Amino acid sequence: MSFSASPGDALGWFEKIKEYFKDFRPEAKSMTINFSKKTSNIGLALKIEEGFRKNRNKIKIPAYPGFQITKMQDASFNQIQALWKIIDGEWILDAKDLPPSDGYFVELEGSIDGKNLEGLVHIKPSFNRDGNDEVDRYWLDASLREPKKLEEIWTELQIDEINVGVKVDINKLFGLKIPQELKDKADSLQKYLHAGRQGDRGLVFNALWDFKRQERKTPFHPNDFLRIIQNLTARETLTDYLSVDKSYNIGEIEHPTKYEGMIPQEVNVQALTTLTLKDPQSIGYLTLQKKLYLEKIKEEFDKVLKKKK
Amino acid sequence: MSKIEAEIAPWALPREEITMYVKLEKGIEFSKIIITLPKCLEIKDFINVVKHYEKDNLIVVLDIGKSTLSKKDYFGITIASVEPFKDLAVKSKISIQLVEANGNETEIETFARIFRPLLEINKIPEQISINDIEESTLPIHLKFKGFGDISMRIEGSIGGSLVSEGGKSVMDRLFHGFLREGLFDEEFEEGDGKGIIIDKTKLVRAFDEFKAKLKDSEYMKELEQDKEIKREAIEWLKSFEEVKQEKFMNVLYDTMEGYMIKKLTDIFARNVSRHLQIDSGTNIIAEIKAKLTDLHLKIFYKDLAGNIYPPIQSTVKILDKREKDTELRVLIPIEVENVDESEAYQDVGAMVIQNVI
Repeated sequence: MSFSASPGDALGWFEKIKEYFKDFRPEAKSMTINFSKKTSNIGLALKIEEGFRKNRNKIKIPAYPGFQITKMQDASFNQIQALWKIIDGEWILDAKDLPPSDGYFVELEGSIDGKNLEGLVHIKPSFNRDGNDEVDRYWLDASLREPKKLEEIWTELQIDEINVGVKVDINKLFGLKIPQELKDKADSLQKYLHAGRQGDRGLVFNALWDFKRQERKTPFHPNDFLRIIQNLTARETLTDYLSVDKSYNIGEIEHPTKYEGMIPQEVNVQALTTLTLKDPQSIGYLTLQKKLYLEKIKEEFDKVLKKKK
Repeated sequence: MSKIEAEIAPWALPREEITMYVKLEKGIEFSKIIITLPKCLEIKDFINVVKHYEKDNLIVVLDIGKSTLSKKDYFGITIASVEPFKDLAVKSKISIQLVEANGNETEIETFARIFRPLLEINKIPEQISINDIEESTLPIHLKFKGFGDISMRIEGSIGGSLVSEGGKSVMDRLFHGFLREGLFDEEFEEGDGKGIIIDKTKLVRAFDEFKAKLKDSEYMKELEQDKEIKREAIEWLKSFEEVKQEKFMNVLYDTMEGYMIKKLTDIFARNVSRHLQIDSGTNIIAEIKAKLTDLHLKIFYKDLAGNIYPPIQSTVKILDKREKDTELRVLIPIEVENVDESEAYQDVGAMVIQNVI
């Protein structure tokens, strides 16, 4: 049985930061996590007293890897440029350079450990597709594991690019449309190879003759097919046949086993969603227009065979 | 909405985790929510449950995290069936009882909908014969019923010894070895639109490197332990002589292009139908010592959740009509000629299920 990690684990670095800013009454405002990139952006409101500024004090924050100060604004949202400098392992802000303001807003960017991210979000796509002759469907499900605890820290929280990916078994689809010509050619080749290994001249000659005859009959290069398969499994093509419910977007389409026999066995389709404290759940379907996609495969395969005849 | 609603994944395989969410109308104060699970389901995880206890097949939720920003309060549990069911489609009833702080009670129910595959042999010859002239094959017709994509493995035995082999041939092995070692890297870059180009000089170099590797006893040990490689291939690798290599390489150069075609079709050949993929065991390689030999076949299959189902079994008699070279091992490819999928389920998400468990 697995239980979720506490949100505190994922936001560990934020607690440290709050501590460093404690003299300036830090108030957590917003947090945006990018689930895929494993980064988080934190917005922090600070009060810097006029006296502190005028006394030419400096704010020092230890700099450690995986976190940086990305932006600073005054209360009227005017961006304050390039005040933070890294000197001897510390982020340093010279307060005298700050424009007068009732408050300031600092944005920080840090990295989040993948394990901790998993503790924040529950993700479960269906293992197996459902569907019919027209379409294949995959169930998508993502939700915040502990919205209440997150709300205690943040007034706004958004987790972007949560990948509820599914594996689409692409080989099976190509397998359904493989032309007989390709099979015949493979058979004659198989015999040729077999003969070659046995080292029998007569056999090799006959097999070679058969192979060459097959070659003349259907003189296509396998690259023609490989190219088509590469094109058909590329994001640009596949996205025409994939759709997701409105809380989702199609992200990357990955070929995790692209070298397995030179053809992707399956493709990982990223279905990306965003969860917020207001909308902590995202449930829907990813749909593949299977029939149309199969027609497209056949059309492209036919083009190669016709072109060469 | 009503005071309480349940939302559950519309389909799942046996043992696959199924998420069920319970949503509550905003502002409802409850003293407990009692979830009753059938014995065939087990709890795997909790989502947004702050306090609960479990007793037998009851889960009593005492507190959940209530966020002020969301439109509804919710919590979830994930459950899974303990075992695959015999029935190809079942629904398991889950009751949810809301006991409010003011004593009001509301009960709703939902169902975990679980589907499984079933593979059967439709047609298999009672007897096949082997002779001196042509290769014999063993044709099988299968029937797929129910739901789920499966991969299958065929296991053949004669007199208690395994005689089935399959998986990767030595050519596959070489090819994959080259790829894994990065010897074909540049040629196999995708995205240049040119497909795959094989450089003859590189191939020779790659083959030389592979040959050097064969002299490394550790590498050989590793190869021998690899169950995916045919015994025949290992023997061939061990006895690799320069003369044979020449011949082999000549064939290899000429046919590398053809080999790519073979790779294309192999993958398709393994995917014999929409639901079925062959993992291994597509060849029977055996010494046949008697005129009539019983070949016992077992076909194992598993679904995408990793459930392995009881194998289907059959016996085929092999009649030996050979007159020459009777001591030679014979190769009998198993050919799955047809898979009847007329009883495969469609749209299980919307299917009406009779069996309630």
